[in-house]
Amino acid sequence: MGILASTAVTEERQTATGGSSPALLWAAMATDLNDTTSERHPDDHGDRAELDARFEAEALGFLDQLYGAALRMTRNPADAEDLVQEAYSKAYAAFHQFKPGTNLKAWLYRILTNTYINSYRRKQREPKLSDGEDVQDWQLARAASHTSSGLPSAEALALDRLPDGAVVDALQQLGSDFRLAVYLADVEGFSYKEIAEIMGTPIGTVMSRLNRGRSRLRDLLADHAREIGLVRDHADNASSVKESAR
Amino acid sequence: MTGSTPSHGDCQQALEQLHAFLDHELADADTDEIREHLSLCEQCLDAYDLTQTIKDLVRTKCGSAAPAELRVKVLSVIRTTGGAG
Repeated sequence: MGILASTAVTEERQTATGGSSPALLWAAMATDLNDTTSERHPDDHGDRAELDARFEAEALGFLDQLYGAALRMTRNPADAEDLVQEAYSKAYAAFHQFKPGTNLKAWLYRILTNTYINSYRRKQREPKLSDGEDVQDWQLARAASHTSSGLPSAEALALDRLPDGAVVDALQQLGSDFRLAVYLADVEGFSYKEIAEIMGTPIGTVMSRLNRGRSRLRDLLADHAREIGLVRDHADNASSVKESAR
Repeated sequence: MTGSTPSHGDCQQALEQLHAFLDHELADADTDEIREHLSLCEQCLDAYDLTQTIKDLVRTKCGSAAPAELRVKVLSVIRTTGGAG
């Protein structure tokens, strides 16, 4: 039960300060983040100005991407904007501890994810899909793909013809850990190792979340394709691309 | 030619490594093995196609650009929380 476990850890570690530190999840970074606001060096005006310029030039370049991720996390634009602002505020405060030459994008995503977990997820009660990490998820995938009736390649073709919003809708229905793992891998192209660092989980958990998340997406999209007649269950159900029920 | 017929074990391995393969997380040797298997096994190939389709759909449909004013908001948040103080 990875989600529950990690959420529990997170909540346990929440402090009255609006808590930015699930230490187990964020290993190196969490303590950094925690201390930063008080530890900045206000005397170093020159350094600070240089740092500010670098922050604006480099970190703000990821605004669209962070917003996209935030939108997938929170599932609504207003919360996504708030989340991004809060994350940038924290990133700015901690930026003097960021090591140039290391992966800034992953660092920012880690802060965004951390902020989301601490500030938003507990507010947004959502049904949780159990993580089932000790079940090997490929076993489920294997069962699904080898027992499913119908033609998978026809199914792939049908999924390709789904209306644009259908994919976002389906992604939004995944539990947040699955949604984020899939988003980070497929939209942002992060490696497993980077996703593991961002989400504060072992790589095995990332793989498990991707497997489960994509399988669930496939089911949701296939159901949708069937509903609007892109996949034929019966031979006589031949017409149909037009009917756009929902 | 039984040699060219994929065994159940091959399929099992191919499906175990499906995501890692499509995410470019496998070593070259493993990748080659899977490619070879996929050239022989339509059922696994279909599974790979389908997952690749899902990946492509998410990539192309699920990104979002930030609203124009968000940049301004972020900058002002930074400036008020930040250096000036």
